[in-house]
Amino acid sequence: MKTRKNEIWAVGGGKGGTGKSFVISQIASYLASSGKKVILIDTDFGGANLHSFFGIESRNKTIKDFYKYDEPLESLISKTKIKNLEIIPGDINSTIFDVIKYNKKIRLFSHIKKLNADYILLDLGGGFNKNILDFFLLADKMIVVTIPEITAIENLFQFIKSTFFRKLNFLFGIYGLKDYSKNIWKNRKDHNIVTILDLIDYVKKNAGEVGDIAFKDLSKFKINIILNKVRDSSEIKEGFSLRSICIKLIGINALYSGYLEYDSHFWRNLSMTQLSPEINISLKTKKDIKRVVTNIINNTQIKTEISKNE
Amino acid sequence: MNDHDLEKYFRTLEINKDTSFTEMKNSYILLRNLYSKTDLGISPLINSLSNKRQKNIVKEIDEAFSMLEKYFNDKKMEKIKSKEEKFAKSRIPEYEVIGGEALRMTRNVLGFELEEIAFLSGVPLKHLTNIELERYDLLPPKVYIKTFLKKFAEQLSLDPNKVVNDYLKRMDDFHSKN
Repeated sequence: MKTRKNEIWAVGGGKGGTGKSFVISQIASYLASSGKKVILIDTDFGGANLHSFFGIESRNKTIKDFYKYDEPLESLISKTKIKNLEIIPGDINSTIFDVIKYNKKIRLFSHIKKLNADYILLDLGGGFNKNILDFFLLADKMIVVTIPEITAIENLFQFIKSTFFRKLNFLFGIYGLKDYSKNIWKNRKDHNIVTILDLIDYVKKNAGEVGDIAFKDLSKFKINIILNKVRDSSEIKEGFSLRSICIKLIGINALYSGYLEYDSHFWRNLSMTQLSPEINISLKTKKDIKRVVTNIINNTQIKTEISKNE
Repeated sequence: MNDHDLEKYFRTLEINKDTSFTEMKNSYILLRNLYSKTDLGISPLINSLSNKRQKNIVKEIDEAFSMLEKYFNDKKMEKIKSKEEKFAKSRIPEYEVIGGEALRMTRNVLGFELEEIAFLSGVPLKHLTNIELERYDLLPPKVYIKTFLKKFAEQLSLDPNKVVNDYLKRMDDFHSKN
């Protein structure tokens, strides 16, 4: 058997309704159409909807079966209408995942790693419970999808901050400072800390050598930002702002992989009939997706464009 | 500007070293607007910045831009210069022995008027004219000719020693023949 690249891309981003599943299904379709073998896993435990994008009706087997009945991961794979693209659907109303232990997650992850594909895409679903954060942190490429709306962006930052602190705690734990940042946050009044930014500053200044090592490790950590449902150039620009805030204020490396213009045509069609996404999207969206994927693969980002009147 | 500072400026403007000037400027404008809050964007967190910190960030961005602007200008000038030199060299006819004609041709290719050379080199115009036209008997004593030739050659980016040697040799040959 041909050895495949097996790179894991996780797509998260906090709030539901930002079009994560749409974006990820487009990314998957694009990669598949360029000849890569792609497996898409819907890890949206409880609110799965990825299957809708591929017109998969019977969802007898889902990711839940891996946990509950120890079904091998391979047996959960469903074919789609698109060549090279397979999917493991998620569960619509399971609550079992709320209590997954870390080692179980690691087990699922090691099984995911063994799947035979070039790219394995994880649709993490909305929210930011520990399951989602851990999957996000274990991936080779961390991707967030958001829309240019204040509530969505607030949610995104909450997601990024949560991820950041989970990773920071994890790193501090390795170096024997478990719960260090948690405790500081608990006693934040004593340290004159009001915002999360103050906390980061405080940790940077006071955690000594361990802090230096941890933050050095964190600088390798890179988030790829995709802005969805963009309508005009000022909204396109928001992606750069998001990136800058990640870099300057949170201390996480980030790249603005690209944006997708609002595709009303697609949404209208999806609500009427559930068709394969390949047929429905506009050429513009296809181009947007191509750019996003190319940037993610190459660790690059879109170029800044400024209108003349600025 | 050392490499360390340069790296810092690039990092402040959130770009890498391969970035073009336009992109650098765009990034600067974006960041400047974002952190000076002139752009009422929808990104939260900026509002939770303390005034002092916000001002600091703006200051750093401004400093990085002015330094990088200078860096890009220097780089551009260097490029133009080396390009000009290359261009000039590629078109200047090669002369085995440099005499008055070679000097004139080189000067024309480079687009200099003799008056300009006189101004730039400080060599009186009439001497330059006589050098070019090889009016040997109108030229001043050899020591002066040497200095004039050197200055002339420098303006034309020619090797001064070669110009002096070639020119004086031709002049001596001319004298010995007559």
